[in-house]
Amino acid sequence: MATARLTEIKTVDIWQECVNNPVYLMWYDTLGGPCYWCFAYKQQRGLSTKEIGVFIPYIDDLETAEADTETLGMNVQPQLLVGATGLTTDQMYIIESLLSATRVLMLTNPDDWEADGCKWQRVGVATGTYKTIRTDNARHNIELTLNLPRINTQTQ
Amino acid sequence: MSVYLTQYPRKDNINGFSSLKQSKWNAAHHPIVYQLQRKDFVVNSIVDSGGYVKIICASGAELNVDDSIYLQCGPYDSAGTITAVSGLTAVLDIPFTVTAGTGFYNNFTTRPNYRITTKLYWVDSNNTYVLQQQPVFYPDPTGLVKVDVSPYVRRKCSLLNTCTYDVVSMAEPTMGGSFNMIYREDYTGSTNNFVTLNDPRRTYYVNAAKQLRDTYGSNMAVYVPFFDADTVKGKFLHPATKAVYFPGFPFSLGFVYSDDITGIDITREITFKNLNGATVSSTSDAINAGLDHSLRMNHLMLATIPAGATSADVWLQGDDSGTGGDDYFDPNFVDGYVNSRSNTDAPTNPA
Repeated sequence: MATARLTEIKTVDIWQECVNNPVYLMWYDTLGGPCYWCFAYKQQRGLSTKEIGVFIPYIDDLETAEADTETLGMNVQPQLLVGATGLTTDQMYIIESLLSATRVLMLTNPDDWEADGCKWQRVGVATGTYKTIRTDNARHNIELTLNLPRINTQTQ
Repeated sequence: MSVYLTQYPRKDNINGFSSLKQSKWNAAHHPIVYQLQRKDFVVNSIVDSGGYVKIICASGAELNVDDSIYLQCGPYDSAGTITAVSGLTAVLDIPFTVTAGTGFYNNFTTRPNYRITTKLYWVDSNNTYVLQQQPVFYPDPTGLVKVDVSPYVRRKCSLLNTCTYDVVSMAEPTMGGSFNMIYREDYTGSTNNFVTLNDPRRTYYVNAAKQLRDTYGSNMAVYVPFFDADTVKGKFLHPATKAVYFPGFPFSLGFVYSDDITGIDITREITFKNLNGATVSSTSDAINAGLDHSLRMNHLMLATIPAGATSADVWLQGDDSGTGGDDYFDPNFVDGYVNSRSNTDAPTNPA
């Protein structure tokens, strides 16, 4: 025969809502296909900090000493809490594949990727137990935390 | 050589296809196995000799008293020792039950240290075989050797995204590709050569993991596009029924650019629809073809979204009525593989 359809007909829904404050993620699902999602509108940024350790310096003059303990260094992990509401069950399968992905990338230049090329940065989706789909609901919500690259600090 | 390739990492007779279809595409994170069977010498028949098995062999059989052997013939499937020899017949210490027809026996004494040496090749972007490893595999007591190439395939996989999103389609080299293998039977004193590197033994992989009870198991047949009039079509690599596109952001759909569709003209067809399901516009664009695109996982981009469109139906269409979709491939490439260095379709054999 001369012509034939090679693949299924895939419907791609075009997101209609305005997007501000976008957090755009890309990952490969378990089948090896590229997937994307945009978490928009609002996010909550946070920091998770931890001391590496403390040491107790010798105090020469108690009257003028600056400190009785010093911190060796800090581990600082910025986090971004993102969420989406009103997702259909089918759209939640896309989010489930995000939660399962081994490697997740975030687009750091959403305003000028078309001119400068995509600048992706690897982020981590915090692991844990997620409630994704309630089977008697038509729409679902999700909230998840992204671990952004750690902040380098001085050690002493 | 007396070793036989009995199983390939592929699925034959895929359901839903009217003609014989094979999928050689495997998920890299599961075993990709070639099965070989050692069959040293042919046994023509088995008769009774004083309550013990007497094998009558074809010419070339190596038979000596006290040789340790394995026999597979009719209902007989066991190890044994030769107790008496006369010409091309031998009596074993296996009790006789019934007569039997053709089978084989392996001789562990005259062919010790038996192993299969393999050479594994990966196909690079210039369609050239590149030698990866030369692993050695040992058989089980029945002479069965399972050559699992997946650990070596996984070394070529990684989860990188190199897509530039400014073309119709683009290959992602670390997410899919092609492997081949050749093998040689070795034992103490053997002087065999490797079999020829040819395309029927070629396997393809996607950097994917399949799930329990998936159709076709670890074979990617459901996601492989075939140039075919059948109603069952290859799916895109996507976890949901509908994908979601966010305007203004990079987007692609993953598809397997399979061995069955190389060499034909392929276009990306999109029908844009509005909220009521009515067509707004359609577009048809040739995909980017070439040696470095085909036989890999590819990104398929969307065209510019027209005003008023709320969804897009996307698929790949093939046309073989032209002179071939690509200067690199002969239109007959789809029908059969030819093992010949002068054939520009097949990857170049290494020197």
